[in-house]
Amino acid sequence: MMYRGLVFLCLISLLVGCKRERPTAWSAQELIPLAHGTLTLANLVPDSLLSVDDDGLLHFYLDENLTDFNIDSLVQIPDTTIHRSFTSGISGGPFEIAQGTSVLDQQDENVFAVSEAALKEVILKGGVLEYTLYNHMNGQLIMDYAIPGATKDGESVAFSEILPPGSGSNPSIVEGTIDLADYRIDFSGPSGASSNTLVSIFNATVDPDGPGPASVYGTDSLVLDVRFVDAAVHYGRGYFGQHHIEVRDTADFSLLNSLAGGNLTLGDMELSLEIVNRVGADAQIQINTLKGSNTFNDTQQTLDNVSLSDQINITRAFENNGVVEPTYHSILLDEGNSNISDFISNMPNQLLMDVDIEVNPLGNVSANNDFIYTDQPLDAHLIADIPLCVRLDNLKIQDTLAIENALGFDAKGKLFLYVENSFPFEATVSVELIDASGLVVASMASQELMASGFYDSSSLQADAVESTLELTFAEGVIENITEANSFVVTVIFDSYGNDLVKLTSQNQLTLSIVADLETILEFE
Amino acid sequence: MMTRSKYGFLLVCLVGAMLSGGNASGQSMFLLRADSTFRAYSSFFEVHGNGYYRSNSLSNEYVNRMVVGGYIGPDTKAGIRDKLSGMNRMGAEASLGLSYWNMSDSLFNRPNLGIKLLVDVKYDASMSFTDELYKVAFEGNKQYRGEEILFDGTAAEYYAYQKLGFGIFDKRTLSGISLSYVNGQDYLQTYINNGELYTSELGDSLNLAYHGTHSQSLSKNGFGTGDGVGAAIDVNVNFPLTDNKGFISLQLNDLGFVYWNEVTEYRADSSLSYQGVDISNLFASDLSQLEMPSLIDSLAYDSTVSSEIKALPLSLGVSMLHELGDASYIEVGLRIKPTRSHTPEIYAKYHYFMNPTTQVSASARYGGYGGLRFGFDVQKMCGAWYISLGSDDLPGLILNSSRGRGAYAQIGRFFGKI
Repeated sequence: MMYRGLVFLCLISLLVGCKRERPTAWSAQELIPLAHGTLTLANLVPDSLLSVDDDGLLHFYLDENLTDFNIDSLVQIPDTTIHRSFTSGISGGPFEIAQGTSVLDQQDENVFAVSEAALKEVILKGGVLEYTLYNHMNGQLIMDYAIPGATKDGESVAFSEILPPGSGSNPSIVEGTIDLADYRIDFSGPSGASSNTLVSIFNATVDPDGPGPASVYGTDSLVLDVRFVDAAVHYGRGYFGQHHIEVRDTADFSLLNSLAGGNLTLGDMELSLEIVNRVGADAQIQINTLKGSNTFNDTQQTLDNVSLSDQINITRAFENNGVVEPTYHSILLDEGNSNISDFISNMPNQLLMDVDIEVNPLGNVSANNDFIYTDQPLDAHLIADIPLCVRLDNLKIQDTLAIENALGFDAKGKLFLYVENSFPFEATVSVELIDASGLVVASMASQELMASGFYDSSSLQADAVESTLELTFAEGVIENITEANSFVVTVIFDSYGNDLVKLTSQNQLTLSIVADLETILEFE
Repeated sequence: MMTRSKYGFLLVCLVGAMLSGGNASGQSMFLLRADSTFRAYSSFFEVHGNGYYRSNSLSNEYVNRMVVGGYIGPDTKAGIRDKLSGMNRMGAEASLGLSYWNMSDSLFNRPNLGIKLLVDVKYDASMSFTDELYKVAFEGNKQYRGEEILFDGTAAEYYAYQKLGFGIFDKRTLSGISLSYVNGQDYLQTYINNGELYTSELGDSLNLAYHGTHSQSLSKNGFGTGDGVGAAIDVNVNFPLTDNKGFISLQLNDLGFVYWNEVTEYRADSSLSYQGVDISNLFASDLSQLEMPSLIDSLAYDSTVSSEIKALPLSLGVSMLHELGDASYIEVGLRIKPTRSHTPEIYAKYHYFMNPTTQVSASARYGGYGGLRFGFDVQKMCGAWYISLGSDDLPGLILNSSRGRGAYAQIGRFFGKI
């Protein structure tokens, strides 16, 4: 008995004594390089938006799409159902119809309710044709259906289905779909003079290879439902009609949508409002108001210019072998003819537009040859050429970053940002972690200063100045970096001195980010 | 007053040593009646187990936390830090086996030869590491800003294998030799010839230079499987002293090899500088796709897969056992494992018979994977049954501050009384 007990104890200590009950963990003081590199404005702004003039001064080129005026809505094809029911028209029965005998042979014209436009032709980029066939006749039929005017690669939209025998109360049903993408549809009807009109051909025959002749009562019918669903127009031609479109639109002004306060003074600049018409229809545009809104400060500034308030007549685009030649109308805005300084100084993060458009104000002058490629609309752009000659006075940029903790371990300590700055402005950085209700969970950096480079206005050079910024992660903060919480990063910029400073391609930030953490490392 | 046949007793001592697999940490005494009545039986069957780990720097508390889990606190780390030397070592062995000894028949018409069969399951692990490598792993690299951390000579080895053997032995001196088939389960070997980590003063760069190899063939299905086969020889030679008051013994265990069908070997001789993510990429790519570069992933190495023959973890031992008085004996010995982490181990052991069926022993050892330690064991005969229990590091069994822990046990029974 003693020996058995000893063996048992040995086994228990081996098997259970080594069982892991929890992770192994320890703390360590780590210095971890997280990031390094050099940033110039070219890193922050796409190359296409920056240029350098002869003096070495950087220019910012902005092309902001304000609106496309929704002209393509004129040629939208609504979902349309073609319902047809055929009977013999003879009372009584049953009548026997021999195999191979045609019971239906018909051509039909269907008119689509395409807004107020009179379309002659469209090319679709999407949509399906759905069909359902009901056979109430006691005989196996072959149904052929075709839309000769809808073609792709020379082939018409068509289907041929075998309909099993049905009865008056219990028809056989056959369903199917056809993808309409890339189909060209002729809406001009059989004479070529109509619009929005589609010709379809039906044909039904008692199946010569079927089980036998059809036995039909006079009330038996053959029913056809054809539905055009989600038809999306790529190209449309016809007469679009005369329309009045009101545009009351708000566009985010992405360049400045993180601005949260302060003053930005820019040197001489030029703005232009450019309207590009790639649609084959005339338009008359009336800009009632164009306002810039700073939602952080709750201030608005109307852009004033004599030409802006004038009625703008923009002629139709031209089409040459499928290539669109647009027409343009441009309004130049500068310090002399507008209040763009006030407009930009308000630092709008939204643009509010109140615009009226008359389409085809002169009527059908194109003889039904208005056209539109829906991916080439009539639109308006705000184009700016801004020399980066600026003065920043407590210019505040604030952004909210949702970052989920992927570290997998807890830590406390600091993040050090070692910076060499040759930009002619300083920055004061604050970082807070907030919860979903906006309450501050932790403050990691408060008024950390990145010093300005030493700026020489004659050479436009700024010598780099070193700074160290600290972000403190107290115990438990990393655990609070969750999906529900966000970082709010606030940076306040002040330019060097009291005058305008000029930015060049030589300005740069050299950064190293180092984590100095007391980490709890563990393994399962 | 005990009476005993000294020669017969000494033989029995040697049987104990052989049964323990020649492991110096196993029991060295096999107690029988002093008149060596074991010779009155035709066969003997025993089961033995042995397990220990030992280090010259890492404490039991640390090992407990690593194995069982838990927080390795500052006191534990401070205790280890005080014990760290330039190069530190740790090792562990575990074995479980059984053997059958047939002492009745003659072999090859030699009446003094017997045969034996054995089965053994063995695990053997060891590592050596520099103090700086330990500190950077468990205390962090901040303390080394602006300094180089060296880990030249860091090594680790691990073997798991099973033996099925057949042997012959001399019934007079119990000298013997056995040949075993070996199933190789796991093999792993790492050696870093040169290693250096430099943390810049600001911590904005880590520079790692490394030159070393790592090879492995690890079983996917665990015990009893694996991708290697081999053979091993165990030899035990006992020379009686001229005064018949003792023996000089030579032991050689696991002289053999395993042919591993698929050994993956990684060789590295490179350096890298790690500065984190390039910040300009933050603005050039989709942030959701951005991944921090991994220091581990940045390591450059070559790898090959091939069949290789690798030696088993050989051990060599020499000892002398000598009578001191009627009931007491002294044993001194030396054990060597020719691995990077094991240093020669010397020991002295005092054996005392409390009565003809009970013997206790006390030992002092130094070297191997650890430092000085004191052990104790007891061996007992109950009729045809034999039991032995002991530890080479008795304080280590109960003290968390100690630097090793282990025990061994053996149960045997004689059969076929002649």
